[in-house]
Amino acid sequence: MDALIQLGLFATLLGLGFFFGRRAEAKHYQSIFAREDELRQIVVSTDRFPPIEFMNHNAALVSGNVVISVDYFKRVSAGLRALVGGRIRSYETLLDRARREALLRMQEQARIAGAEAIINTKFETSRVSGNNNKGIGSIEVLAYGTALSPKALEASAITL
Amino acid sequence: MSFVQQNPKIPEGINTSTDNPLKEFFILLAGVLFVLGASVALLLLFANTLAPHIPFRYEQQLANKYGEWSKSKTESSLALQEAEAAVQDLGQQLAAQADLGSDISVHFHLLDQANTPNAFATLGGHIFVTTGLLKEVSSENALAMVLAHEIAHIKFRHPAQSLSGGLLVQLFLSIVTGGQNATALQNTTQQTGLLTMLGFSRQMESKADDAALTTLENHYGHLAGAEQFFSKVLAQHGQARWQALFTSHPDLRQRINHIQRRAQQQSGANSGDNTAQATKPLDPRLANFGA
Repeated sequence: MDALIQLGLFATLLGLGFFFGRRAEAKHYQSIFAREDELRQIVVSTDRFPPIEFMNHNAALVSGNVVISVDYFKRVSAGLRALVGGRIRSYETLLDRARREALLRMQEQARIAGAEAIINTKFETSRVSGNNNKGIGSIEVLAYGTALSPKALEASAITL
Repeated sequence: MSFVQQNPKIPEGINTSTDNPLKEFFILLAGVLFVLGASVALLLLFANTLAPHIPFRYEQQLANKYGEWSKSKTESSLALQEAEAAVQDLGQQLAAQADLGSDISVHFHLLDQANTPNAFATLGGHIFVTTGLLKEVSSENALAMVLAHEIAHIKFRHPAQSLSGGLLVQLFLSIVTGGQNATALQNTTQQTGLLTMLGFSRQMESKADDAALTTLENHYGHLAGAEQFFSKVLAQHGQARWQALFTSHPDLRQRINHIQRRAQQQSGANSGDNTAQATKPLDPRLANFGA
């Protein structure tokens, strides 16, 4: 009886994880596609130095940061995968979403700052979880770069 | 080279996969369950064969508490302690004749349960006899038959065999599930330790009977009185107080017939030496509990 209750609990958590996790993922991807189109004008590059046409722009740090939780289904699925090895597909989508979301947030910040491009873009990924490894973990992705925004004409006139 | 005017649209499905995650999940789950099930089945299948090869000292470690329990029984009456010593003496004499492996040792304990005639062997070579059983035996030979039977169980590692199937599975599952079943494992070893008396199969019982008769023959030189206790059990098995023993020892009639057959063969071989066929009286230290 005890084992049945535990099994039922496990199945429920698994079902909840699958249902809500999948729904959240689908919605998130829709939002990512839409915003990527919207922010396509703010060019993100990994160049370390500004291209020639941006030489006279202002440079400022912009960053985007996102934390996404692993759902129960993904965790169990990955646990099974850990026994035999191979691609953990359920984590691949999670990390893909997190990277793209972090980029989008960075671009959003750049747009507010009036930037036209972001150079020297870097990523940091880390695990956020409780100290015990039994808790459901989450991942943090930080994207940061140098936003280049054109100098305002009035401002340059004053400094001259 | 001029700087791009906008971010390129990257095709989907390179870093991720569009496969339904459920498909992968169920394939993996089925595979893992199959391997688990197969391992458990294999363990169960070979438990009987493997059990006698488990070193006896592991069994002793598991069953240490029986020894401690016996020592801590200081409040028990002097008569009971003396009776236990008498059972111990007789048992050790029989054990010396039972051809036990060099690493196997047996320990005898007397349980103060006057109303339940019973005797059983459990892990670690511990053999328990109730005072109720002493009441029911009229000669040393009958008691010796019961003790020799239990010694034979220990000799053939029957407690380990009957326990190890379940134990191996528990152990295996506790390894797989990362120690979450550790408490379940402890419970099994502790609680089934005493209950293994219920777990011996008919083959085990008749094998133990055979070995016990050989032991008795070596010790007394004849088999007179050996079946006496079992005959009594059979005659009275309808009574509730005999149930404990009867449920663990089915097919009593067959066993008694077997004992009598062997006794006849043996006396046939020694014909003309009838003086040696007399049964021995019980040790006086057991008299307090006798009929």
